[in-house]
Amino acid sequence: MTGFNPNRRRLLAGAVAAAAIGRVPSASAQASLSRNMRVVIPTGQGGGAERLARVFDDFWGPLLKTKFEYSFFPGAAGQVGYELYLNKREKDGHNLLFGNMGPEMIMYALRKPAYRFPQDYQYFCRLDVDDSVVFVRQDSPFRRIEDLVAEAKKRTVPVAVSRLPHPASIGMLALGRAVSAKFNLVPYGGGNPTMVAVMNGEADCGALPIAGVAASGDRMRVLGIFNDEHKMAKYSNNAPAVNAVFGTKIPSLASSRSWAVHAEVIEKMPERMALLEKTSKAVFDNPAYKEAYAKTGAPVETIQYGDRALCTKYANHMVELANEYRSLLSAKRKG
Amino acid sequence: MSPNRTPGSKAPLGADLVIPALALAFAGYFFVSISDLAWEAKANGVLIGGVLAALVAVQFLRVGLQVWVGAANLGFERLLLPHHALAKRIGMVALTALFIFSMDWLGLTLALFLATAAALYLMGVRKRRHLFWIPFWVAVFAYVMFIAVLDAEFPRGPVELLLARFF
Amino acid sequence: MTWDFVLGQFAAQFGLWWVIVPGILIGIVVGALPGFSAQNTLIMLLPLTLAVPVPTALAFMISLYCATHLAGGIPAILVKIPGTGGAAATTIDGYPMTQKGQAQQALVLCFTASVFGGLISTVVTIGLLPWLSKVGLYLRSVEMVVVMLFGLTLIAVIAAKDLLKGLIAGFFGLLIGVIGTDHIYNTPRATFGFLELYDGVPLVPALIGLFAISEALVMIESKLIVRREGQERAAEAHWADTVDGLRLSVKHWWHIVWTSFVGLIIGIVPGAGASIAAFVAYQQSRMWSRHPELYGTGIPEGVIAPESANNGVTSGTLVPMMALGVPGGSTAAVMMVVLQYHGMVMGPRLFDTNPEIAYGVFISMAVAYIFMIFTILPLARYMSRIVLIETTYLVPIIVLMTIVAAFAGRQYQFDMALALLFGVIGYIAHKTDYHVTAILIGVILGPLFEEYLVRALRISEGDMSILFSSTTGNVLWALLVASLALPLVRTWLQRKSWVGNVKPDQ
Repeated sequence: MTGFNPNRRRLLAGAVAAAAIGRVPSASAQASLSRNMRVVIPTGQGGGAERLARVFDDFWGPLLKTKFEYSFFPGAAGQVGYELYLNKREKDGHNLLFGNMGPEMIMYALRKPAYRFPQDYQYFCRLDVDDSVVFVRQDSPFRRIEDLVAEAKKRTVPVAVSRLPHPASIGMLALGRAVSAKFNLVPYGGGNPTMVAVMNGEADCGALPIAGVAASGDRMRVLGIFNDEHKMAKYSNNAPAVNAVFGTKIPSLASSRSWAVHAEVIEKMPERMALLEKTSKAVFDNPAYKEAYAKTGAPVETIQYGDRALCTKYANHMVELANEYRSLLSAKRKG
Repeated sequence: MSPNRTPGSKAPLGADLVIPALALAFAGYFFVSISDLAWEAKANGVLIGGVLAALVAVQFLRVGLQVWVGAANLGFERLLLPHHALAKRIGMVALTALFIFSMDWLGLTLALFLATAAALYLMGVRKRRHLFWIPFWVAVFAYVMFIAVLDAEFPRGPVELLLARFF
Repeated sequence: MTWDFVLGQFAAQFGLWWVIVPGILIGIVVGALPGFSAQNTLIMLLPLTLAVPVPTALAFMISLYCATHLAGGIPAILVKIPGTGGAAATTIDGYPMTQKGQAQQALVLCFTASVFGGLISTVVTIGLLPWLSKVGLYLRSVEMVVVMLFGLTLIAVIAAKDLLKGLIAGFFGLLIGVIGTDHIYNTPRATFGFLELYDGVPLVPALIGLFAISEALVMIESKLIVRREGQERAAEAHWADTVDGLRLSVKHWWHIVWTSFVGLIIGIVPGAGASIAAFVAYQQSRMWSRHPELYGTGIPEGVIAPESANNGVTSGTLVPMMALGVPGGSTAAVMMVVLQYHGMVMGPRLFDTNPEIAYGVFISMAVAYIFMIFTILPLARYMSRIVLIETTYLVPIIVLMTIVAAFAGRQYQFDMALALLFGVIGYIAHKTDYHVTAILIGVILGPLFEEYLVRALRISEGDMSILFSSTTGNVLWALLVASLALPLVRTWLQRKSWVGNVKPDQ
């Protein structure tokens, strides 16, 4: 689904003229934006990505002196949104993608689409680090993660997840492999339906990033976190790090939302790219941003800026993880 | 059965096999596309496609038997009759396809104006006033609704580019 | 929640008439145009709704949303083009009423069923919100498989005249509905290499092709939509026909009430939506009717059931959003964005922290419905005149404008070509008696059925017995079997009594 763009028309003539001339805008033209930012979000509407992006653009928009328009393309674990962004959006720095790097890089590794990372696009501004957690409903008989694992050694335990290509899903697979427990991942297509599946007892537990679980209030109980640093302890009622409980060496698994841009913009429009990077980073210095973020119910501690290099490192790490668990995450049974 | 059939003539049942044939061809393609996938990805398709193939087989058998006993033939009259509407119908489909593909060069507004005028002519309208003003207002409505108000991503042509200079 | 609170909220919502009326008018236009939805209109208007106070924004969004559900039935009745998926079932009896020259009555039935269906379910929701919010927790994947089967059995019902052809059409639609990525691994299937089909077959081009374009290609054969015997009546279009429509609505008041409950319950389940509610309500209406054989020929109950149900959904779909923080549908998701933007945390706490918002949403909906009946009812007489336009003019406009509208939903030119392809398939199906409605039911319900079925089977690791593992699910299975067996039993009893009444000397 896509939204319409009420203000783009006025500037169409200018864009067409620029395209007709067929040259890159001059350095001075690059250093400012001439029209609204058009953002592709490769997940559904009303989810965490939209919430996060809108709060951020409230503070980024004034710095860029422009507005943001969003389109949502949730198909095929995000592949539809990426393909559309890379093939049908102008490579001019006015078109951005707001993605969830973890799940979407896992999808990239598993699906092997026609586009290439980082040759075709790059993430340049990480907004958050949202640790993956395993959780149950408040009145669940599983009080500790040890109880859950003990049960999963006796029988296969259904685990509600947003989608298979997701850091939280990999966390559960890694845990199952490390402690010889049987977890059956059941994807529900989004954080909200995943939590409903845990609430109504269809799945014994769920695995999601912590922000959504914390925002759901006291209906859920976090049993363990897939991050040894454990910065979000107070939102999980001091739930332990999974590695600390079982002595495992599961890597930190977090979702990280980030702004991405066509690689061609980085290469051919350095001034504009510098503007995007500088202003997006500046948002994190604004205390009002954190206040607005907290209003949505998500933990402020998840806000963690990351630059292009950090994003690329994280994205490549996700590709490695996906390749490690490929056989469990892919539908292909031959070849 | 065709209402145009005279008593004693054979029922033209060839047209009755078009949908089953399409369905069967699609089911075949579906099976090929899911052949190497995990059971979760193909269970539903195999179930539905299997039942569909069986139903289609029964339909082929049913029609085949009627042809065999001489009660029917494989004519396509049901799709083609009445003859006076056939050219209009084929023309309308062809014109619509042409409209979709020409939009890339002409833009929404001009392509729609021309296509509506041609379609009205095809349907038998000959009054010049109608052939101009109806397509004109249809195109104006589409421009205002889709380009001016909603700014939908329709291909832009000369009309849209010209108007963009003024608004 | 006290009466003073409720009355105060009603008064406050009536004071917002200046946003409710424009919301209704925009909603009617948007709902009547295939390709547009409350969701994409609200996205477009998001900057506006984010800028105004929450109660004002909610009143506007809700009135627009409810009006789209009502207006989808207008083109479904007049020209057999459902404006929304929820109105697809309305074409089955609404369009035959138009062909008989009863377009005005059908429109009035659509409006009253929509308004009162919506109003009743909203009032019930206000009163029973704490309990209703738990319904979603009882309807899990297994139960939803059975709910989907309620809708899918409509294929067999529609195909009553030639079961084999009807089933081929239905299963063809179901297989088309499976196109796209699977629900577990997100792997594309049968997409012919088109990225545009990864999300599955889009509903709007399918609706437009199977109904609007195929019907327009058939329309070419006749001068007017209305059959000869109904032309005089349609041309006169007296106010008396509006009154007659109201009389029929009063006569079938109980039908409006119970089918609105079907919509309310299905609406509460996240992701189910108006289409399934309308089809299930129509199927149930026919199953429990004393004259099921008349369905499809243009009878009032056939218009009332889907329209009342698809408006019953409007309040149901907001229940999980308010009570659980989970949007029940795509429009609810947009509303949730607005509420969260203003710092409203959805969920049970909302009823303590912001009761004026939590209950105000539903009271606003009730007020919108009250405004709606006065806004739309007088228009039925004038709307019905469209059927008197000659097909020479109507066909080109229907085909070309709906093809343009096919673009609107996702903004892919591909969808226009897809609508044309569905139009040709629909035409062939229409001319050879393979019901297009059966194909559409498959296309709409196929993906949902697969989603719930595969998820249930994934949980059980392929063990089919899971489908009979829950009490609620088994009750639903029993109801499904009962509703399928009822017509057979009734026919058997009628035959028995007829045989008993035939005396030997007769």
